[in-house]
Amino acid sequence: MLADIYEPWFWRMLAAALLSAWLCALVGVPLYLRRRSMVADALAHTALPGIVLAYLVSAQLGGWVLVGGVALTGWVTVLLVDRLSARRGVRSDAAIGVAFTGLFALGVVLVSTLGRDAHLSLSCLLFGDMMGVRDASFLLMGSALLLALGGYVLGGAGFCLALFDPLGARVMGLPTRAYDQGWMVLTAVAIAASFEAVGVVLVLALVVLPAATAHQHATSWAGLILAALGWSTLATLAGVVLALWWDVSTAGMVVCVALLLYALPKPWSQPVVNAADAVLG
Amino acid sequence: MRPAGQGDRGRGSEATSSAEGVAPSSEGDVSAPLLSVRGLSVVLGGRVVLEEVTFQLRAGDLMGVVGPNGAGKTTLLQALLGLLDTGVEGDVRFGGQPFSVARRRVAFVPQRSAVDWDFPVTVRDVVLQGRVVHRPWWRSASREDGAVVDQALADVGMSSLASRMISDLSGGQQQRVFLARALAQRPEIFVLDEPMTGVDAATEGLVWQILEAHRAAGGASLVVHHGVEAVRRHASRVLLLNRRVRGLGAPRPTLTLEALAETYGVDWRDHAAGTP
Amino acid sequence: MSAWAGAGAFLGVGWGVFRDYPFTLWSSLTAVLVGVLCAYLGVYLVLRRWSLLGDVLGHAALPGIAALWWGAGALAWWWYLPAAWVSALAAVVVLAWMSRRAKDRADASMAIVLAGSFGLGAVLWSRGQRAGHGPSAVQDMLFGNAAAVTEAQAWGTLGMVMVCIAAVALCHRPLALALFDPSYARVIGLPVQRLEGLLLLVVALAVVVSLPMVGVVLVAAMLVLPAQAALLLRWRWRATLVASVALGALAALAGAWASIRWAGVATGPAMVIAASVLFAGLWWWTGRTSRGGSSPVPVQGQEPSHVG
Repeated sequence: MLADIYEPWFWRMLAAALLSAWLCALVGVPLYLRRRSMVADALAHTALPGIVLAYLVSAQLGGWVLVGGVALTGWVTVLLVDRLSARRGVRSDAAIGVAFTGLFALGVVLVSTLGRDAHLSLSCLLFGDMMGVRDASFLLMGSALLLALGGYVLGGAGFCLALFDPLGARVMGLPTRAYDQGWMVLTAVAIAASFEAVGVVLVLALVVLPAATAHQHATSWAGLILAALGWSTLATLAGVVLALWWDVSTAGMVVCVALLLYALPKPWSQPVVNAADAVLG
Repeated sequence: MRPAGQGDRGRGSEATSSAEGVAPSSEGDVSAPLLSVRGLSVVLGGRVVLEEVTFQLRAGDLMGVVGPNGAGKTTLLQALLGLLDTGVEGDVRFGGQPFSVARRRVAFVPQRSAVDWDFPVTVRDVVLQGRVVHRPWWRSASREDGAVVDQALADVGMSSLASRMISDLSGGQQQRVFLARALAQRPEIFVLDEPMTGVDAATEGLVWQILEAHRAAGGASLVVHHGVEAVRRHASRVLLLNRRVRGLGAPRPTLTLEALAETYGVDWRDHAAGTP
Repeated sequence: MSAWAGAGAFLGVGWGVFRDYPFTLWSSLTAVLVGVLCAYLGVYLVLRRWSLLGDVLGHAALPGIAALWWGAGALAWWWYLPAAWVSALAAVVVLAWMSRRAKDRADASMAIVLAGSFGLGAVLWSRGQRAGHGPSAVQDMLFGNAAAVTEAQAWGTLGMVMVCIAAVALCHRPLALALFDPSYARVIGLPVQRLEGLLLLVVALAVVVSLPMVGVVLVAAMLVLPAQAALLLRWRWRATLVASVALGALAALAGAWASIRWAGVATGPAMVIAASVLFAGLWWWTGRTSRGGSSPVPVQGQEPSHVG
């Protein structure tokens, strides 16, 4: 019902949606640029066993234990992918596939055997439940957002360079390895913070789509980030309202709108051959 | 080492004589050059990569294609061999016929980097691929095919490695496998794309040896190669290419300092006119 | 010859294990069929660097299934197959189009199609839930529900598995050449694009057939794990295919057995865990005898191949 816009729970839901959208968009820009989108997919899936592990340890579904659990499995995933790719005959995409599927299966088994009495519902974990976001999660999302912003600030210009020209950056002595792994852990944290609202699979869309959309027309580094935030805000607002109106899954609708925005032609975009050149140039 | 195309000595009915695989095909026009290119132009992504390229390849020609990076050498081969879907204009005839009809007479040796060397196949499996063009796709290899493959392996000195997995090979050995595959096809024309990249001196010598033997037997070869000296020494004709044909003919008169400077140097007038 | 003997022994062991649990017969048989099909096709997929395509196809099947469920309510299993197949293939078409426009962002295109179609599926599923259709067939397809596999399903799966394997096996030589050296294959006149298209059609069908067993997310696992494990052995072509199929069947059997032995463990995830264990074992073994070796440069940030 569209009239529900005036209900307090609507604004609470909108806040949850916006926070997770901004967090994911910020985290997503470097992932997209460094061609790590499918690694983000792997991280989103392996968040499941991380969540279950955290639940086993703390008997509750939230808080910093949760973040710790997801960050841990995320870190294990990244290490696994690197280790697997290093063996001859193992293709890099197969390494990602091997790493996350086994862990995800483990998570599913744990949920079905141990999570029976808990509020662990596989559907909620996969699709999210925006109306059911708890207060503590807001704090978590806010903190993660600050962390992401801090990551950009700390990284500075060197970070930007490392994203566009990793080999050159390494030659200059920048710690590209640390940037990579650090950002992967940050991604895991973002997933942990947002999964309650959007679910583990749809997080991926919120991470990649705004960055991809922004890349179609952005002409500067700051422009890229601002555009990503802008597109995700637009998608979230429209998606939440439409979901309310049509009575459908909120996270799903946000993703659909984001998809639409990506597909729309952007007539004002300049025909840059390579956005990287434009940014650095 | 015996060069291919000279026939197997008395191996019975399996042997193919040198004339069969190498002489101009009776299906096409006998007096036509083996390869005729007229006004070939290629535009890719709004950029003119090749402009009005015209040359001919006759029986007994060993033509080296020389030019700087980005000159369009690989694009030339792709255009000739039907690997480009759009953006190609001009007339290309193999013995008077289009490539789609004449393809079994042309053996392509691609760049080694284009292939996944981790594939679980043996050396022999790869060389057998050279026989695929001579039979319908659903038929498996015959005994005659096996004999041709054995001959080709012997010609490149890889007979002892026939059962080795290709992932265990060195760069030079990989190139030899590709060469053997082309030999097994028993073609009229060899087309090679940078065959000497990352290859040891012995293999490099072998490649030129095989191409020269093929030339002597009446076939023709088109080799993209970045080493001007080797081309000067081995090729019978040279094509200097940098978007346009900058020189064409026998090595000595064509590979002048002037022509090389024009091909490799930056001519500002051309550069300004060519870029979008 | 020895392959047939091995298969015979395998069937004998399987029969012995499951003789006491006849009610699981159809479920276990279907599991083995799915394991075999995915392991066979997986070799082609992994070699073509399309490992993650199984993940994309699995998620892309959701909109079709959800749409059908919303429109028509709970139907028999075989109605969902064409819907899921068409949905997955539509995603492939979109992916191919996207890859052509953004050539160096193949990974982002995959992620977008994967998550995007899942979002669309979520919307459609929630609509269906509001419409009040009963127990959700979508849920069965999402997470797999091996226990609900019927005899009819098992026979249907057998038929489709045979069709899929036959379609690929008939042209496996030109297909292998097209995967190994696409430019050479094109030059000698092989219809590379059509062969790859055939592979995609069959893989999409295999994904859809496997959904009731393993569910949307884990179908990718059965396509990658046995095949990549078999490739670790660095055996020849035919031996690799046989090894992969054997590993897939073994993992399926182990998964089926685990789901009987321990309540609450579904066959699908158990299969995948078994396949992971087998992979880990082969990893350790090939690393030990140092036949595996290591690549000269650690691979980082390399994109999967784009479609089309």
